[in-house]
Amino acid sequence: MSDRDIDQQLVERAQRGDKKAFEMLVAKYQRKLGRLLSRLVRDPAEIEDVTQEAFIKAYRALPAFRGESAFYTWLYRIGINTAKNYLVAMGRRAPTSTEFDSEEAEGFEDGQQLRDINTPESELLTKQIAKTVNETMDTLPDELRTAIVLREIEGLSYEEIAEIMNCPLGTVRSRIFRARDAIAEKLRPLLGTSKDRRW
Amino acid sequence: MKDNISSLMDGEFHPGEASELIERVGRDEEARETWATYHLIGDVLRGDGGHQSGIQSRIFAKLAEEPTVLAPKPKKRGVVRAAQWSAAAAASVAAASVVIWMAAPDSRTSFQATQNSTATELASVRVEAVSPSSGVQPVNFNEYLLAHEEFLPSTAGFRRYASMETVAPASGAAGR
Repeated sequence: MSDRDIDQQLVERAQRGDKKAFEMLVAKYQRKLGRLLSRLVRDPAEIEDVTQEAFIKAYRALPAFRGESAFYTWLYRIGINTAKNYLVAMGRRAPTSTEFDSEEAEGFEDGQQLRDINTPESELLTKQIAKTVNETMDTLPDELRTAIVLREIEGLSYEEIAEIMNCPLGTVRSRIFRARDAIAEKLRPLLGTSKDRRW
Repeated sequence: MKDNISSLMDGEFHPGEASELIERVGRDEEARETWATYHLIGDVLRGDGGHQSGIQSRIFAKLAEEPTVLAPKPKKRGVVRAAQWSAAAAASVAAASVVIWMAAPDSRTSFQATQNSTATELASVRVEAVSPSSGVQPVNFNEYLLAHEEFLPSTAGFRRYASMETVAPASGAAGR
């Protein structure tokens, strides 16, 4: 099941009235959308406002979403329109459509070149999170670190990773999970997430 | 369950069971936290995001105030497409027929000629059918038509001719 299929399932659940499914989409895409919108809106607080507004508009427009494009592409268009309307309402110039083409939504990767989207309040926490993630990565056994890097940064499939690391698919799956779990455990105090429990 | 969430977000969970897992994650607050945290880790590793603290909870709070959306269940795409294709094909054929009919007077003439020839053929068939030599008594239809000629539509000349030709007995009633 591809990433797009998972999003489609979440969308369909949300369309049937399951708000938690839409929350899962918010959790997945809020940072990516915020990054993209930071290209139009300069102030970090305004980026947050526009991001929030875009998600709410997307939720209201869910009945019209037919899955002809990827959810994120659709969300991206809503985000861009929301930002443009916001800028017009604030008496500022909105970029032309050629400056901001929705086709680049899925391939958008130049996160490093974008300005900081954090408000002063969240900037410290962001730095702490990044530091924690990096420090935990350094402490991971090589095989776990390699597996998660190949997955998250290089975007390889489990099959490709298995071939590179010369191990079974199940081992790849386990290594990636263990790496994530170790990092999540270190992040818990910062994020205020619940104490672990057995499922 | 956390290991399944890890596989799910990578698109590597069993396709047949993914739907059930998504439902379980949706119902379980800690599972959703895990989902969110794992996505945060991925974004941080890719340099794709600041934390934007508080925005997620703000969005969730705003969502809670929104009326729940309920979209109508979409028709199966294949059925819709087949219906659309059929309608489009029928419309195309109809449009093409009209265009040909309007644009080609020759074809209209030939169509009328075809109709006439078809009528003549039918008339011939009828002549054979009512021929006295066949042993069947002729129906005195011609007299009936002549008696009611004034009620025939003005365009019925062709039909009247055809009927006179068809029912005229071989004994020389053609001059009537």
